[in-house]
Amino acid sequence: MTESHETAVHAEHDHKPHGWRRWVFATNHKDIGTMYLIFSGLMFFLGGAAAMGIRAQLFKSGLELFDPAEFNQLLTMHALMMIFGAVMPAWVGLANWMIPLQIGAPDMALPRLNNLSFWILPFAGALLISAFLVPGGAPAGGWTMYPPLMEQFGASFPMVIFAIHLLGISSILGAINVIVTIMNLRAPGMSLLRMPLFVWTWLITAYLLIAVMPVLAGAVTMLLTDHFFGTSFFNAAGGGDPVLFLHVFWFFGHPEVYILILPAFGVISEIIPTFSRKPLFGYEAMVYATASIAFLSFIVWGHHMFTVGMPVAAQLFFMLSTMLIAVPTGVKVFNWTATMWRGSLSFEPPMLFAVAFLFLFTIGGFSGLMLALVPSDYQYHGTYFVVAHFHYVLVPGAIFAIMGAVYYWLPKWSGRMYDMRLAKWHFWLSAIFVNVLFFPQHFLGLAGMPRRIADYAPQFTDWNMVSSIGGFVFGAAQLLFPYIVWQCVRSGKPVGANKPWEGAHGLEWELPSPAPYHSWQEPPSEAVLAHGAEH
Amino acid sequence: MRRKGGRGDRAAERAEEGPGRCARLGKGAGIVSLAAAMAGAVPAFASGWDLLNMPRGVTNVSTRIYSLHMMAFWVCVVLAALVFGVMIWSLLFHRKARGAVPDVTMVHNTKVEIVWTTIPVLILVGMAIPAARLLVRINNNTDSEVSIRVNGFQWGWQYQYLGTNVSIVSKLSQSSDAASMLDSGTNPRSVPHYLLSVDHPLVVPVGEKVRLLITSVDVIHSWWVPDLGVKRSAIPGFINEASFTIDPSKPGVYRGQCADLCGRGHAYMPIVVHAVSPAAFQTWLKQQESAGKQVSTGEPAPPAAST
Amino acid sequence: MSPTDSARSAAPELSARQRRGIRRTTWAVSLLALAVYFGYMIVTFMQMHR
Repeated sequence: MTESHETAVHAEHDHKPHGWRRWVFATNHKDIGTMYLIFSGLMFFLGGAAAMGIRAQLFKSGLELFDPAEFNQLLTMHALMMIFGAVMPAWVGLANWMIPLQIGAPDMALPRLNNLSFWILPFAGALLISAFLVPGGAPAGGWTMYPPLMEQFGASFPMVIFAIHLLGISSILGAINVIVTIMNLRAPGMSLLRMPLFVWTWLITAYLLIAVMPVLAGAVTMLLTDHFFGTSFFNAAGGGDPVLFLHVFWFFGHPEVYILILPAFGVISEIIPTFSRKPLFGYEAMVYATASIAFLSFIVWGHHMFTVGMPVAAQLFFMLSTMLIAVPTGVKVFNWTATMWRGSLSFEPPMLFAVAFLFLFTIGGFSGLMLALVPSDYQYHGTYFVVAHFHYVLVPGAIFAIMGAVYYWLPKWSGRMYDMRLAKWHFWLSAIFVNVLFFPQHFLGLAGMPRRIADYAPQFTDWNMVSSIGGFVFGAAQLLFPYIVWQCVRSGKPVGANKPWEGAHGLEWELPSPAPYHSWQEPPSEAVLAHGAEH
Repeated sequence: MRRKGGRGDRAAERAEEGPGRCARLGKGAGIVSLAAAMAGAVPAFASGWDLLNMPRGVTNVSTRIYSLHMMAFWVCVVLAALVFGVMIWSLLFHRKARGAVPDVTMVHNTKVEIVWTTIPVLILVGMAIPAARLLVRINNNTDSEVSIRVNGFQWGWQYQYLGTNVSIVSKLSQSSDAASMLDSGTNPRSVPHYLLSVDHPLVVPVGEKVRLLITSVDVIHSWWVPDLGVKRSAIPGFINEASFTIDPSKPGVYRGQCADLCGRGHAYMPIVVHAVSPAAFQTWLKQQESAGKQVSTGEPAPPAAST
Repeated sequence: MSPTDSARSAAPELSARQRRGIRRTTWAVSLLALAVYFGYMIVTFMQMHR
């Protein structure tokens, strides 16, 4: 860091609006990023509360807590809150915080749009949650919203569709901002193939968002007109086809799951080299693998609907294209492994989460490969095997990566170090009990327990109890997370002038910690760029 | 149904599936095999801890699906052992605490990268070939001997034996229904086949190819019996085909559930299939044809409820 | 101090080329999103009236 830059940074330090105006009229990428992360945390705990309700209901055979209709509302809202409220906003929050720091930009390219895309969220979230309060309760058709079932729900049906529209608009605006920023505001010398992988994966994710969120918006709009304006897109009696909704929905839905996981790949690709004290193995291969995964995600949607009676040729096509995804995903896992190989590893909390990601995401990948085989999928489809699979890729996958990212960059954001010992407790409780929670669900699904049922036959009780206990401990362990963050921000030990992680590299570590309110007012020079890339 | 407090005006339990229905068969040739099937079916669910894997099932297809599943499983186990082995090796021996020095020159290696791209492709091809073969085999629904139209509704199944006037409405058995109420006070373990028993099961012959024409009158359901290796969505306005041939040496009772969220009663629409000898099946069918007219005719579903 | 200060203080740093780039990319990506939305609706509508 040059001396002149340091002074410039400090001169700007106090120039920020105070009080509520700072947040309501926020245009600073760091403030907006923080708000996104807080919103995401809130929704994570609300969605988690719904999950605790689900696991309590399923603790044993025989209906104990909720009426089946209420149970279906819980599971629908759990999914919607977690996907659209927790994971996606968390990634946008991290993008806001990190992309400008990592590419040497002064802010996001469209700061006012950024404000809008965040402030849509609390309203959309409130609308979504208030669906519980209207007569008839929240929609109970699953987050997949298949018609005609979805159309049987009363006042909450249009509310949830409107909430999804808002959440979708917010994501699209966020994605536009990310693309425009990355395309136009990179520091001189920061060519595309010098960008950190978190930026790369987010660029690709943003294109996925642009390409599929409008499809979801179209699908739910058609659902709405079917219900209120007499169209028959998905109504067989009027010449439509319910399966058409499935096709449109999953054309959105599969890229959506990569929207949730690609930025995680980026985060893991930042953390593992840092704590291996070694550059990422196969940087270019990682970029191309991410792009291939994104491309393939558009042509595999049929694997969500192998049992709806598609032509055999279509089933074969979707099986083969799905299996193909294993190749670039494998490349990524191998590259991460090779990065650790002959490194000099240490296990601070971000690395612990990254290593757990590596193992557990891979398990989810293997069950995904099994699910790709159509004949086997005829047995797996709609069972707890599928539930286990996607929770393995989303909880120890996406969510562990988000937590790893927070533990990794929190010292950069706050200038303070969190309580490592507590963070390790948080990690070990999470990593152990996430397996107690989800691993038995593989058994349940194989043994024949369908997903989304409010009550089950007694022979499934034993493993469900194990799973529920895992769920309760996992859920309780997450309460440590906001406490650790709060304690760090309030009274953590200042990290001072040194990098908190000796192996860290990249432009963000060329800035002081905490990162100044206005950073990279002048683009970093080639020397700073080169210094940041050095190990 | 199934709200707090239960009903209270429930009449005494009617005959469950099974024994009651058996008795009505009279002195058919199939009574022996049916009774044997009943007896054999009861201890099928003992403890939950040993429910770990997919059932092998009783059709050629279900057995082949099981083999494919196990093949894929072992491939994954071997790959996992290799990949996790390397990771664990690094975690143990390449630690800073052990004084490991990072090899910072290791940034990429084209040869290795080609190898770990090619080998997975070959493994995948090896898995795709048997899967594709089996897929084509499963979707061959021709040459069936018995055709049954399956009609899903909220919440139960209606079965229409094509070419006859026999039609069965199959709903959750009353003992399960009563025990499933909130605060019913009944231990589900005391109810035989809780949530997996129906009032009128589907009866099919063993050794003959049975073709199902599956549809729905309201929302999307999914007809699934793991032991038969059949799962197909029931979609309103469209008809899906599926077929199975039960091993002639394996008459018995096979149970399944709806596999697609279909509303409030999704957990409460089980499927029970009685597989009997062809002779017993014919006897049963004739009896149903003559007696069935007043019992249960083709009227399928009650109208969809609003939640 | 105006609440949109951050945007304003950032703006003067941007070159004319960057501003043009931002404008063009924003238009292109926004139109892409709209095209996907209406494209999908139209295709589905045609499918319905096959």
